[in-house]
Amino acid sequence: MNKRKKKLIPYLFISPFFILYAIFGLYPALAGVLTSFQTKTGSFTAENYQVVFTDDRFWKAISNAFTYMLGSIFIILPVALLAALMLNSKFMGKKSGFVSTVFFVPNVTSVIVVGIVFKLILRTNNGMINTALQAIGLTDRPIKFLSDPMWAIPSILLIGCWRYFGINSLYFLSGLQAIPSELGEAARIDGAGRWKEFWYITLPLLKPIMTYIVFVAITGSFAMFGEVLTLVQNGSAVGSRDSMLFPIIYLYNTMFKNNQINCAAAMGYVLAVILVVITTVQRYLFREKE
Amino acid sequence: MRKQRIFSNVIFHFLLLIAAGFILYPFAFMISGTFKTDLEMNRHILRLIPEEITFDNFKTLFNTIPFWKQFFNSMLVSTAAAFFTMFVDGLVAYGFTRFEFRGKGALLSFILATMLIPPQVLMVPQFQMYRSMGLFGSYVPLVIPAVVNASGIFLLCQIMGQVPKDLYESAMIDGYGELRIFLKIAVPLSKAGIGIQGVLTFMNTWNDFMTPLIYLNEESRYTLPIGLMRLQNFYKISYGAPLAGALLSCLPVILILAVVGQKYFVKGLMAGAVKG
Repeated sequence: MNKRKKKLIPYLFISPFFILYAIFGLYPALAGVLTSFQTKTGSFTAENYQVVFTDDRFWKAISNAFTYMLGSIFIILPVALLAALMLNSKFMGKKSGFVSTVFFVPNVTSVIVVGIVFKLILRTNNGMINTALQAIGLTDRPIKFLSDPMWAIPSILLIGCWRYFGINSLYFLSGLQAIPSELGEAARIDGAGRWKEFWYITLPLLKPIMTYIVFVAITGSFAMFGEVLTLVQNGSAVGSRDSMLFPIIYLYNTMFKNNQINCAAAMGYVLAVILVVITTVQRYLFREKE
Repeated sequence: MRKQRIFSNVIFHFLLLIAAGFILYPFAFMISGTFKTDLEMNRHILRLIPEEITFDNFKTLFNTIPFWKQFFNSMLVSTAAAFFTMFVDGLVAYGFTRFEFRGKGALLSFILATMLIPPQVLMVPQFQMYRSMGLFGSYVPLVIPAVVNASGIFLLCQIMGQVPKDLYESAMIDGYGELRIFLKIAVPLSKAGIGIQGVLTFMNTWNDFMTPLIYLNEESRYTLPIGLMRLQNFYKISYGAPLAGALLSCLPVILILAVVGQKYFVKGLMAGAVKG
């Protein structure tokens, strides 16, 4: 085999990814820019972006996603971390295999299954939670989890918590297990309390895994689709007063229900830019400080 | 000190029990609802063990949608996605871990960068592309995203990187070609990791909801999630049949989790994430 040919071999092995990505990822990403600057008849215009920027429903969807994102970062993730700290404690012993399977299962449950089950759990009349609340006398009027705008995001957060709290605590757990136990012991000998040990040793060492987890939480919030679609499918409003309207659902409806392909394409790019901005800020906040 | 330890041990198990209960309850609810009549579901939703066990929900399920046909479709798509992913990601990971070459770092960062934006925002141009290729209504759009998947490549890179380099060298001295080294040495030595990637891909494709919703337009070609969504829309009042379908659709994934070996599997999954 001559030398030139030999040099090519590594590129041959890795080429499948790049070829497939060029055809099915890069090409549409670039071709779509063209679509987003066209009218339905094909002439060029920037109007689609103007429509998106001045569309109240689009910003409503963004604000819903943002609220849900804050909820998942500040409610779901701390609970997951707490669970991981418990799982990492010495009481755990041999149960960890079983526990991690249980924690993992919701994450590999289809979103339609989640929708079917949680619709029954959350529904207003004879719903599982409402029946339970009334049985113990906490409320006398059923709570409209799915149709009261005030309850929309909390209800979806409950579902999000069920689906993702387990997998996130497993991620945290893998981060915790990578921390050498001598570090904690050394701190305790130096007289640091449990809380100080957590704040100054454990948390900083969890930063790499936390960067990943928070990143996934952010993109996941903005990519929310199936959960909501299987819960509420009534006409054009998603939840009452669009309280459950999320960006990708709005994009999907703009494209397939209202047939405004060019607008939908523009919306996709605006969304991508918003996401890049948020995740860049996140990476800046999580950077390693000197 | 000892008393305190017993106390925290009790608290710990109590909290763990609550967490497990929170996670497992919806499954118990689903199983119980499958065998409940609609009347009992409406009157006694909290009752987990039905007073009167019924199998009518399965009958309704099988009479309303071509359940087994759609089950088979899901099986076909997910298996195809798993095999293509294992093969392609395996080749790519071998290329990256076996050789040193110009631009390696840059190309790896490029793959990482493809993860930054969720593919959903490209829904429109991707739809246009598949339609112009005549692939609308086919299973190709469902399989491709699974194969072109950066996290799978990183998981396999990490696993193949553990194969001792000496083995490659001695195989080369024995006159093996690279493809043969890949198939006879790299793959067998990292088959556990490749298997995990296959299982993960299978599960993700099995559960995929958005792509089949966009690309499939015939009931006989639907995958299970879309069939179940149709069923759910069809029955606004009855919940038994959708619950029965949901239960059956969960079984393959749960079976895989049980067979593949829980501990081992979850550990492998974590290994990929930490690196990414």
